[in-house]
Amino acid sequence: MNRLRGTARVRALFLLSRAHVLEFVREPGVVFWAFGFPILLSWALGLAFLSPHPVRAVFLVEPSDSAAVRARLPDSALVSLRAAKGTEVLRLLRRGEASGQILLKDGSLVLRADTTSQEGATARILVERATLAAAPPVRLEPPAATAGGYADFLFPGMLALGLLNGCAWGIGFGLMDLRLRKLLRLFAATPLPRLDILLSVAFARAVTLPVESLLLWGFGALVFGVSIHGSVATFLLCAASSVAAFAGIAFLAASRAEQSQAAYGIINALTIPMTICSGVFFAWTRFPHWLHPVVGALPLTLAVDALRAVSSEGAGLVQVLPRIAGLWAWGLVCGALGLRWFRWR
Amino acid sequence: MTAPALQARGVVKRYGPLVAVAGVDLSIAPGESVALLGPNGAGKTTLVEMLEGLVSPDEGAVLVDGLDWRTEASSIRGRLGTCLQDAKLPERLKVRETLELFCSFHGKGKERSDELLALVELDSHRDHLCGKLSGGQRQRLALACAIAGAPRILVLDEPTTGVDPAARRQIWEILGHLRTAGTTLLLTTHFMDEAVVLCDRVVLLEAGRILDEGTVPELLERGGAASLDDLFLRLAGRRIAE
Repeated sequence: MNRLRGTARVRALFLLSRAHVLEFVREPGVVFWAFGFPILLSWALGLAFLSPHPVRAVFLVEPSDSAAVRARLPDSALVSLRAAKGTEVLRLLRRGEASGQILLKDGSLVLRADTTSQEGATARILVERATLAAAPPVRLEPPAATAGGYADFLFPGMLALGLLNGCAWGIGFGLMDLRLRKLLRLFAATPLPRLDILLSVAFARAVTLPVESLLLWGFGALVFGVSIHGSVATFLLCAASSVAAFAGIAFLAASRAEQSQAAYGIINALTIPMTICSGVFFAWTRFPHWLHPVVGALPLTLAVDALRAVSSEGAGLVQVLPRIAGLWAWGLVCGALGLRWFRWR
Repeated sequence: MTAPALQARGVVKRYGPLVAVAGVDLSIAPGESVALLGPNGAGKTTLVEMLEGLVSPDEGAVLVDGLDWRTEASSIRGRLGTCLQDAKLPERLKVRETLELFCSFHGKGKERSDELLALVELDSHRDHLCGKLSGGQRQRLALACAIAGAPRILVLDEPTTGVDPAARRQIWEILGHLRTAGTTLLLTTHFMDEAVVLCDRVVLLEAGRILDEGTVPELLERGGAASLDDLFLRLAGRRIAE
């Protein structure tokens, strides 16, 4: 047989895709990192940021000033004072065990805190609020819906990050690993079309990625009440577009590497900066303004923003279309370059 | 006139300043069995990779059954079986899954994979993971994968490197069967006895060029050596001295 055609070609493609899936699921370590770790990380972050206890800021006071400060700023549900002096003050602030220091200067209270951080700004408000004894108390009501909580912010980001990692490791590293094990050459020397060899890696991910994503999102929905406020179809389109972008980038990243150290380096260089910058764990708009055009155009940023816009804000297709177009542009350009430069040996 | 099974016409391959293959002409007749010998770095693997169509020559042409790799690649692939040096089969696939996979690449089904399992005597290991096989078993499986499509031409790059003597004998037996059945064999090896046992003709390669070629007695006579080992050591020694 010279050329592989019709059902024989489909069967070979199916068996090769299945082989990649079997190799994946038979490796317990890989299964943990793909399925278990994102859920554990999301759970830990969810617990840390969704504490059922109200915010209570701890401020440090000099032991000698303690009584005078407490007279004007008594311990409350929002504010707590802790006596400390000398190097102890610095140590507690550095450990994040206190939000700031309150001093008594010329009979006035002075708050020493970094108010450029969110925690510092909150601390300032809490101190000002506590010292305004005459002000009418604020009435508190529970929120009408869970929307707007950190889980609603976090889970679309974690989902996009999972898709990036799935493509980077599953497709990018997977192809490099096939090359390093000389399997790529072995496959390429058979009548199976080379395009099918590449497609088989993508098809294998098309099986595992939805499972990984469903597990993560299901966990968010069950444990933290995360839900999709917009259209599910639009949300799925955003996820599919994200996969297209990440797959193209992973393919380009995998096109040349010949050594395992290079393979690990390339995948880490691809994923780690975007994990930090692209707004998975905190809003990327907190970076300096001059960085916004760069960070905003990163594929993970586009994916996170699109998924978050649909799930948390209920955005429609028209609103996320520019981001979807950006994702496809990333995927197509990188995929075409990867195909051009791809090395089979 | 029948076209040669494998033919290299003035092939040259350079990697930057290094000339790995410097103008090689080689012709192997259908059913012939040829060993490519030479010290490390002689250009054996590069020449084999060009014959397998994995590397394109910078100059010259490579033909399989009279078909040019540059224009007839898809027609050639089904005719050629390849067993690469140090290729690692999928470690977490079972033996039968691996063979079924390689058979499917040639449009062949389960019957062929069962036949191959029997041929390479891995029937009892069909449900073992490839990663759990011994070196010899793994090499026999690699050979079975290479002949999954029942190729007329088989190219083997150091097929018995790293396996114990008993496993080597088993591989020789399988190759002997294939040879008897009329398969054209080209193999690179460092084992002189392998070349003597399996091949009709030996090609000596050094520094990317063919130094000499012929039957073993012809080479020994021309080289004034008592054995192929001596001839090989002279070649290797010359390179070390240089």
